Amino acid sequence: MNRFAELLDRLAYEPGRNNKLRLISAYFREVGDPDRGYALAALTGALSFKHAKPGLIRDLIAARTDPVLFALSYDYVGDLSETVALMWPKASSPLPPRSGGEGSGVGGLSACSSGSESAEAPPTPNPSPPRARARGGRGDHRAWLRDLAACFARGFVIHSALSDRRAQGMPGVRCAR
Amino acid sequence: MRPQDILMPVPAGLCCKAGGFHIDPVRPVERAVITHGHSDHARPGHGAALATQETLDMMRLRYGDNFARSTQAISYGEEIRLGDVNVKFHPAGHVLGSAQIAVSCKATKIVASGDYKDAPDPTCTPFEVVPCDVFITEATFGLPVFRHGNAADEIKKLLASVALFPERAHLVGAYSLGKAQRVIALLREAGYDAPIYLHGAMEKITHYYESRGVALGELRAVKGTKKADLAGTITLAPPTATSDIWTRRFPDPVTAFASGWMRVRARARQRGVELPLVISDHADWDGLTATIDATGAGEVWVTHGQEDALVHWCKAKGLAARPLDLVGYGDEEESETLPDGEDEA
Repeated sequence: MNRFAELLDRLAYEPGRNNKLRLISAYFREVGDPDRGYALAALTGALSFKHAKPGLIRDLIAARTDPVLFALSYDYVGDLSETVALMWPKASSPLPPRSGGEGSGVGGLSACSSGSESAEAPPTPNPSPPRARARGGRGDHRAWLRDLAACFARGFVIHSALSDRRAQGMPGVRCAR
Repeated sequence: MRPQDILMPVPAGLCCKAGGFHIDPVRPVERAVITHGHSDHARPGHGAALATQETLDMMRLRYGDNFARSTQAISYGEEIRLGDVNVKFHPAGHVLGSAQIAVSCKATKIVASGDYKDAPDPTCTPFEVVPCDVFITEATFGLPVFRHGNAADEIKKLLASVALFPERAHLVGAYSLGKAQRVIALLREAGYDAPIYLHGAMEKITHYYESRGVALGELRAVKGTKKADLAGTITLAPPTATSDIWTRRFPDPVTAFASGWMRVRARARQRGVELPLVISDHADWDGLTATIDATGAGEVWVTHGQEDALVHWCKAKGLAARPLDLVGYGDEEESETLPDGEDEA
């Protein structure tokens, strides 16, 4: 999934059509199934996240970050999905304790100062909730929601990456290098 | 003595009355104590300058021999008495020669960290945590969205791109003091042993790094190299040069930029960067907060950057914290223009 995120980044910033094609074909050549299948679905708009709405994402991030820090970050970044993706705790880190202690939302992050992988691979996008896990009690359900939100946060980024890609692919958008 | 009686923010910078000096003054003063060689911290025209040998050398390279009336070199771990206070230098891990300055007066110890990073860097002495009562921290990347990750992974991205586009040149924008040399050293660590090309403005400082024992492999000047020969190569250039007419000498260049700002898309867009590399010489959010914790300081003064978020974080932890509101410091990358005479003609 990190490799796919990398591809999207490159596509979003690369203005040349042929260079984009080189990037995409290199990705499909290099990455195995099922990841590249999901990638193809994401790139062609075949993935949808029915249950995750911006309000849900907002609630989820609010539950794990300090509201002031989130507001300052959102203000700086200017895009909800990107802010959430950048602030999202590592997949491996446990949910922060809900002690109500201010700043506890970031406490869990200090362990991952190594983290460009902080946007650690969200699990394979799976638009339908796995029933067994959804039934498996509150903890599991929350874990699943967290995974889904991570996917969805990424989904937003994917979406914006694609629209930027289109915009940047337009002739005349960038005339000189 | 209260901490604010030892060090006080004034328009010229942080002033220590009891010691008769300023730390990183932005205006000419009688006695300056300087943390590192970046142009917003190390300025010419002071009466006397106290800094590490490397910082003094870099100032000499940039400003000429008469950058201060007199200079005094101090090494890491060395302590001297200035007026009524003791001053001790500790490595800051930011760039070659960068230091944190500990100012002690009676039982109170204040550490002015200048710019620092706690991430590994093959080109300078690693950051050292200095326990203190008051910690003065920068906040360049003082928002939780800034988490820089492993620089080696960013270098892998660059090398993967060089492999995928062998007919294009890769231009890496990097600040000429510190970042450029770190990127070169990281490329060598990753096993890249081809010659690396340098913009003219990079040469002096880079050769200085080599003279201080930082191995950087084979380096060549871009100037005088044929366009076709630059295909498949990596060139380091100051950030401003990568969007300049200068880039026309490269075959279909891929513009990369090595900076902590590249974590945020809008910043990369603004600069027309095609390959953002999140490599920073400043501590990221996790680094800042972990460092504040580690110093054990009960009071934190926050300067240059995103002060608000870090002050908020400190207060939530029960630490006394305030922004210093010093002006004149910024991210060097933002303001770097090519110095006279270093311009690549």
